[in-house]
Amino acid sequence: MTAFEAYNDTEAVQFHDSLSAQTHAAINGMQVREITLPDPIVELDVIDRLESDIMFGGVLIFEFLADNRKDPNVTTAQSLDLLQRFAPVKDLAQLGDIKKVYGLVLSMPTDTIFTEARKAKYVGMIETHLNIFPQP
Amino acid sequence: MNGNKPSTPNRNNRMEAKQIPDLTNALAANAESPSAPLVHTDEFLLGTTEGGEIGELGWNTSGGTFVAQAALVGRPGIVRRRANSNNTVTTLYLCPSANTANYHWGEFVRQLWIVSPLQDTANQQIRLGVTSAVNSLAPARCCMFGADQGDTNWHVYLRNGGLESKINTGVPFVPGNWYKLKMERKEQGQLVFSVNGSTLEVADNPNEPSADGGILTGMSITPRSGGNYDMLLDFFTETIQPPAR
Repeated sequence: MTAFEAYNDTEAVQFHDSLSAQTHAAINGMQVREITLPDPIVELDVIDRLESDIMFGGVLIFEFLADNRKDPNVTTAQSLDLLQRFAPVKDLAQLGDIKKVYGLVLSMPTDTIFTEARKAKYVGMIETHLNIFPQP
Repeated sequence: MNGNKPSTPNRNNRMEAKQIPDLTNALAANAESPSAPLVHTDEFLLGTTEGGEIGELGWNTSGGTFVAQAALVGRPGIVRRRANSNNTVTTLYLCPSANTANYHWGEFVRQLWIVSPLQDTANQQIRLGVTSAVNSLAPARCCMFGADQGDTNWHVYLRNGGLESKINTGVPFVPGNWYKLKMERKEQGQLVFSVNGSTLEVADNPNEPSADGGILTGMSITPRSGGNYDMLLDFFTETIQPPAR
């Protein structure tokens, strides 16, 4: 989503529309630039939200399994071990409880197979999903 | 609103000037009708290092670790909050959920943090204050102190409806220094921020949270690369003023 930012050396103020940004900039001696904001927050009813959460849970599981298969260095034993550690995450992801999934993934220790980069990737995916929705 | 304000100090009596504010009236008023100012204070002297039991207020956490820190003279109770996972918003917050608000911006009065960051901002982002989601760096709404990667000064972040105002306080962010970060909502559209006494007034900012917007209290450290990032927490206090009920 495009937005407009009035800015100077010490302050940056974002607006949805160009006119508001231009007005603020003119009053405060600032410049205006166009920026890109994250996807807009959407309102969903409970059922739509559940569907969205379950779909995302499936995407997360798929991504995790795909990363396992893509890594040629993962042995069968290591893969089994990692799958066991991932099992609680998988269970909650299938139920669409993404907030609890977030906590579980955060608490998973990293190692040479489940690397910091992999963990950061999943945490980022989950945060992006959770931030789509309005915060109460 | 000023039920807990200390009486004017008697300059000839230093003991009186140092007295803790008398909350008797506020507490009595709350017993009748819970609308007097709520004051939460934490010296981080008690508690454990487990989420939900940290400090006197029982702060909740996600990610990272807590390490007990030897006291410094004049600073009873210090804990070291450590973030140790890159790209993880490592949080500390005062409610059951990191992204479920438990009061409203219109009820916020003031907040003071006394903290010391131990590393520079080259590879971390920091936030302290009130937000709709402490586990996000782009929450729907917030009023927070902080810094992003490469910032050399403390900044103020105001967010509402997903839009942000980022304001430079002009006070340098120096690892190892102690900072008193104070924010006050005098009324909607009139905010005062102070870093170690250097004051910044913000009036009618378009991205100040709406008065009916939900918020919660917390802080976060987000490492972007490299090892551990620490913040020493010495003291916290906040005042919340609910409407009559």
